[in-house]
Amino acid sequence: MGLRPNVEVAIAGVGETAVGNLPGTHSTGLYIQAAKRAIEDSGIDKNEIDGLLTTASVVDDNVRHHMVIAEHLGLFCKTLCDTLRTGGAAFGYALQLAQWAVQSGRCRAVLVVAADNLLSGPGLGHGVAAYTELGAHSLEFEVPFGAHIPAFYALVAKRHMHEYGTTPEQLAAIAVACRKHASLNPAAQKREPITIEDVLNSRMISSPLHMLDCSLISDGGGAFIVTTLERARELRRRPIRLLGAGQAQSYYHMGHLAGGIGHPLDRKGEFNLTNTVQKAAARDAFGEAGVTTDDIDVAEIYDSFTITALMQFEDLGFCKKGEGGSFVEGGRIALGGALPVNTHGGLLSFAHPGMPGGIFHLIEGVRQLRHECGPRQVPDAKIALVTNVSAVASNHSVCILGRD
Amino acid sequence: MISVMPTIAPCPTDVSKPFWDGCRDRRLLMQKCEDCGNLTFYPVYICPVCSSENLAWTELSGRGRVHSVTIVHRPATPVFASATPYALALVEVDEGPIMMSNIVGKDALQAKIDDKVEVVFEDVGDVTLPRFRRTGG
Repeated sequence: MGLRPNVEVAIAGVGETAVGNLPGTHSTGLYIQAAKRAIEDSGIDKNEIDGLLTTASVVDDNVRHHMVIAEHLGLFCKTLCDTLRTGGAAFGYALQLAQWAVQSGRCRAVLVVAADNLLSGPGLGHGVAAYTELGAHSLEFEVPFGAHIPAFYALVAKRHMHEYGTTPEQLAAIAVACRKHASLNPAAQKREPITIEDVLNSRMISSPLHMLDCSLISDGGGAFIVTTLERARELRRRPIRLLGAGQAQSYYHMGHLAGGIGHPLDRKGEFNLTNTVQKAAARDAFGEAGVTTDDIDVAEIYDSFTITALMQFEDLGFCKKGEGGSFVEGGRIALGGALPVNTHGGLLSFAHPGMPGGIFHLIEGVRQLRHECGPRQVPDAKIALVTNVSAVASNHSVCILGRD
Repeated sequence: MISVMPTIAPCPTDVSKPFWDGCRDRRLLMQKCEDCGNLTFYPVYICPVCSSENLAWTELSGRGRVHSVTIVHRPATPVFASATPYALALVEVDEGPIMMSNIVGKDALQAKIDDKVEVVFEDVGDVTLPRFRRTGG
């Protein structure tokens, strides 16, 4: 196959495992289950898959993780095969890599799969520690001071509150909306509805973030298959088109993120803790798709913490910088509101197995556009926005999907 | 004797050893680029602004202000359990860079953004950490 630079790609199939507490299951088992379900969902012949991207496992890491998964699945000769290290931002990135691989003519179909057993694998409580101690500079200049991921995001939240007057109640509104949606999703890990008071009364983890401002720790995984739109139309499911994608990665070390060390001098001050490079990713995604925020019917917004989601409404352009707090109030982001967000329940209430968390946002975007979400379906959804974030608001992926 | 907040000790590398040696000597050091003047933190091999290798370790005033601060109630690892709640902060040193540290000492848990702080060096086992205390004003 030659270069097909203008060929449109689509997601031809999706699959996920059960999520929550799945004791006794190795991460590889979850990987294989998710992959098998996505392959079956699409109806594609396994031998047509010549691309494989995984995100490894925090619990059972392996530098050749993608080869382990390929061997279990019986995918022998691949032209694209790797383990991504882009953490929570991996899936919009993987989708774009798959797009490029298909457009280059070197891949016919790419399987993206991610799973982990962060809850039952290391034991409750240890998953957070394992997840924090990733990254050398963090180990030398952040972890010695008792830093962990909730604290990183708490520092961002404090700064946002300081600069823009954002309130704990506004942060809590995001957790409440996610839980409302999870209550409509039988697969979600946490389904009991909560109120803003419940969030504010939950245990303080790292001020201003309460326990219910923080995402879950889970077992589980998901997978999706990317091929040309043309090929996808021959398969079992309605294709979901990739209309536009954008990626942007800045710096992980929080001092760099906050202070602009190593930023181009002519852009000094443009990016900091509360102004992320997501706006660059969004510019590319919206530009490529040729749509605006007004065209988005449903948004699956990466929500490792309530603050993670709140800032994105600003950087994506749904509201002005500093107005994220008022944007999420009053039910706007709940089903029935102007912009239903995280209709599956998000990382806050559906599941967060670590690296794989963002794949569920993408899968939910696909399911919404296929109109198969039952009581949580956004009526007549045609265009979905999906974001992934990792490395403390420094790695961003923005994708816009369309119903074929 | 007030017990010192514990740590998971950093492992100095070839490039960061002067920083940690400086802490042991009660000196807060960062690298200044002798070509473009940029001051950088954490320790690096070349200037991230102009790529020069002419980096000179420079002693700072030790003064700064709180860029952001959180009170950690739930520690990531048991090492810090005895220290909760504690103040984790991003401190903007007067010379520019922002570093992560703790606010310690009197009223540390009341620390807020823009508070003025100064460095204190705390020996924790074999390592000396640069932490900060509020100075008022």
